[in-house]
Amino acid sequence: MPRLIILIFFAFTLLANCSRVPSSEELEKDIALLDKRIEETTKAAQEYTGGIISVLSNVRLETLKTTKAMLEQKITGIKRYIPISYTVSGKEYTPPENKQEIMLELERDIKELKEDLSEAEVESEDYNSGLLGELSLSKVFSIKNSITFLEQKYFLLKHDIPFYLVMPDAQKSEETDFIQTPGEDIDKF
Amino acid sequence: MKKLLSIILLALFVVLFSESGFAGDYNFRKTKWGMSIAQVKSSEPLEASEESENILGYKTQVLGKNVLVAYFFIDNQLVRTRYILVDSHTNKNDFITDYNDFKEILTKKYGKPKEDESYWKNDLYKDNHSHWGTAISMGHLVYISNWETKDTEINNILTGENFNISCIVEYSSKNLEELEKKAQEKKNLEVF
Repeated sequence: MPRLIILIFFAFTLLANCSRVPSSEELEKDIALLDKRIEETTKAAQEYTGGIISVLSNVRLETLKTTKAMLEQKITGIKRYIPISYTVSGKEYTPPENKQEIMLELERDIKELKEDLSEAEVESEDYNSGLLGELSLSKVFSIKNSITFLEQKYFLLKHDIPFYLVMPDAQKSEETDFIQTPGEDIDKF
Repeated sequence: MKKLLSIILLALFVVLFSESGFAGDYNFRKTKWGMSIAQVKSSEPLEASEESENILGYKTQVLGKNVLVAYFFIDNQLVRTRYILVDSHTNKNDFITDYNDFKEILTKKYGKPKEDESYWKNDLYKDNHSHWGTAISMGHLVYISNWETKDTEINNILTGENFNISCIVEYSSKNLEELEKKAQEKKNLEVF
């Protein structure tokens, strides 16, 4: 009888731990949401063929597609029973301990940005064309991009996928380009 | 025998001292005028960022500033070198600080400059000190200081055009000046 209790206890512990990992259902739900966003953004990107708004739309579209691809990889792994692990700089990736905290912060930031977006959209409706119209529209698209970037971080964190900064650090590359040679400065003059 | 030994020792000292003196007597960084491209390359611990028939370029830092080092050759002989400042500033007046930093270290090494002037070609901003950086970028104001050593002429120049500012420290060989002039004349003639 005590053995049975111990077994039940272990089973509960196991199940409780499993429940912390988002299920494939949640992944499917997030992918469906991303699909919807991709569809909307594709339309916007097709609507504007040049200029800053087209660039912003395309950046947003590619970010959404990348996020979706990452989630799809994860769900495929779950469905096919292929364990996926991520190694960053030779170390296996483990989600941050304060994951929930970061997610809450991201949620808060996204909510604030969505409020900014509503205001910017109302503002842009006042201008139909011209420079002011272009500027207010670019503000709308910039906020949409910011939301997409934060959501990418949010989704990847939620599903235990490491978040990479793909863009090169311009300042760092500049610093490494200009290297100081050994010796005193005065000897170099 | 003792005399012979003393002479040998003295000769050895003379050779040793003259060698070390010669080795340290550089004209610019670790180079001397007349050096070949290969010799200059081996003197630099950096990878060349630009290389053409007559020019070698390197990216480096001096006095904490990002600069390009340019070596100019004629007939595979080093004749001229430059430090070209590549840092940019939002406040154009900061270029004057850069110029003064270069002037300070050159004065420390070579003494008081032979010439130390600023020339106003247009007085528009002369009375507004906070716009002197802008005046330089528009070509209204030029700063120049220069030094002379046995073999070298050194010019520290702060100038501008079309709202772009150039801060350059230039070294040129006095002995190879004629060679450079002839090469320039030849180049000019080729155009016609």
